[in-house]
Amino acid sequence: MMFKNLLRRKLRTLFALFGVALAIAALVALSAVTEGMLLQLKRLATDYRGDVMVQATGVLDPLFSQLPFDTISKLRELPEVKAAYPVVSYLTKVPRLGTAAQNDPDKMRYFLVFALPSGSALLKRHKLVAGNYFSTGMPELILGADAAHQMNLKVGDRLLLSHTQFSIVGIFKTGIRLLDGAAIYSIQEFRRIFSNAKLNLVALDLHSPKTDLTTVIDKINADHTELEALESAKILDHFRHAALFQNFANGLSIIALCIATLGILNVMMMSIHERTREIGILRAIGWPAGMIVKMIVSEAFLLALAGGFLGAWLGWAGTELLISSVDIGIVNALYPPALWIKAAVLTVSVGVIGATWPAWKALRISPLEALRYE
Amino acid sequence: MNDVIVDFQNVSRFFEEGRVRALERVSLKIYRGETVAVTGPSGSGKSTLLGLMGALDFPSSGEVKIMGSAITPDAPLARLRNEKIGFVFQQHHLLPHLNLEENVMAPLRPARVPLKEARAKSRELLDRLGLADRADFLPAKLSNGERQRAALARALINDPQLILADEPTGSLDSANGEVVVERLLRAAVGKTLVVVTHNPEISSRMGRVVQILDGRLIET
Ligand SMILES: Nc1ncnc2c1ncn2[C@@H]1O[C@H](COP(=O)(O)OP(=O)(O)O)[C@@H](O)[C@H]1O
Ligand SMILES: [Mg+2]
Repeated sequence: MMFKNLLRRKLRTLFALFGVALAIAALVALSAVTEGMLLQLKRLATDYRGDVMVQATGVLDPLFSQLPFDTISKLRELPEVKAAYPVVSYLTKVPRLGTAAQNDPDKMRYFLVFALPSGSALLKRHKLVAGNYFSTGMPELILGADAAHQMNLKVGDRLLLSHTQFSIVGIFKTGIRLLDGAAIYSIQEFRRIFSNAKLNLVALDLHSPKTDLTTVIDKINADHTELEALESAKILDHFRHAALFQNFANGLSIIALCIATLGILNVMMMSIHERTREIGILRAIGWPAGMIVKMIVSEAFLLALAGGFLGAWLGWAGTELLISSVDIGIVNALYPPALWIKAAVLTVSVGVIGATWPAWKALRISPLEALRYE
Repeated sequence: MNDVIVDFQNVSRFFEEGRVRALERVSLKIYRGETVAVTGPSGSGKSTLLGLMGALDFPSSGEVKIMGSAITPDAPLARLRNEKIGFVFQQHHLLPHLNLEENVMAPLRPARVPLKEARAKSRELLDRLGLADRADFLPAKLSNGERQRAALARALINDPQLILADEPTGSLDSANGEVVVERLLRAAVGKTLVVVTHNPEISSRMGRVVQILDGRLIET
């Protein structure tokens, strides 16, 4: 019976259905991408950590931090510091197929590059699946496995990067998309290519992190106004971009869901208005209030559910399409069970909220009045 | 015979904040087995009276009891209407998107009568009203008379104690009207029937005639 009622106004029903589908799709896509990005950043933050991270004061995001190289020597002077090393990353362009000529802009792609001190513990965290780490004094790099696959490159090939012919000496795999789509070469080479370059972050290892952590952070923040020291464990909080994105994603999802709810509400209100007489008839032949509510709620539910399934699929398909079309591995999606549960709960809520007021309205219909007029 | 089915005591029903006095101080008892015609000019309050008998409405003052149950907003009226009362309106009031069979069995839903049984009952009634070959038609595809007969089948399917019909033949030709009246009278054997009608021929076949004028009752 509820099918019949929904099918009676096909266009309107389709509209509401797509409203729900779009809302759920937006929710799924945005949440999946946010989740994926957060995971990337989290793993990045845990892999690229000293006990303390130092960035330039007041930057929105550690990735935008710019510091002079002498910051490292300044920080090494602190007695609590065991080691201080620079972290550099930048975005550049390379030929889409690694070996192709570089004169066709259409065949170029964005590419993320890291520079790290050769022999550093940080570098060693990038486990090699082929070849060796780079040696100093040579234009050599190691390439992430995803990048190698996408650009069809292997150990022994060359890659023109930042106007320098690098030879690929190793392929690494970390499981972090952002890194596996990137290349790493030595800080020394970086400083040779970009003579007045800055670094992004300084990672500090402490002799006794448990006792000295806050002392060191306070000391740096007090003595160097241009520096901002952060506890590595908390660095994720400082990826304000991520937080912003998450808020944005949540906000957008909420708006989408409100619109979807209004869509269902509208369809159900119109349908009940049109069916005032029918509801009056059902009351007159003795259908109890509960049955009438159930009829209306199931209609709204069916609508929301169909929209929800369609939306979940659209969201997933859209996200995967987006990911496969973006060069750098910044965009990554994750679909934890919680995401699907969230989508399901919200779909159900949209249905229930969209049905409550119409159902209440329907119960207010006096059978006699409904049947009185033609 | 002294089973009181309908019991009105000083019943008034006002609309528009008392400006329209549809019924005024009506007292009336109808007993099991009675067949009653309600007559009166248009706008005199006949439908209002029948709506109160059918537990579709509440009195503004006074007391309405149907088969012993007081008709108040917090009484279980849906059940009373479903199980004990069959209502035929002036218009057929069939559900437009359900076919005849589905329409006729709609009152069986609240009691969760199994589909097969409901279907069989519905078919049987339609058959007796000469609508066997129309069971899977939508109401829009039928003639007025067929629709009204289907509405009658729906009113009778729960074998109600009290059958109420508000000008059931008003929109019908005499042949169809005759079928409906005939059927109503047959269903009313051992039950109670109240029919609103302008037709003296129909009134004459009822055991008792009640007349309404300007919301007041005149028994004849
Ligand atoms: N819901 C209502 N609101 C306002 N006035 C009503 C309503 N129902 C009935 N009336 C008025 O009450 C009077 C009696 O109506 P009704 O019982 O339908 O008369 P009848 O069936 O005898 O033609 C009429 O004047 C009618 O306009
Ligand atoms: Mg009337």
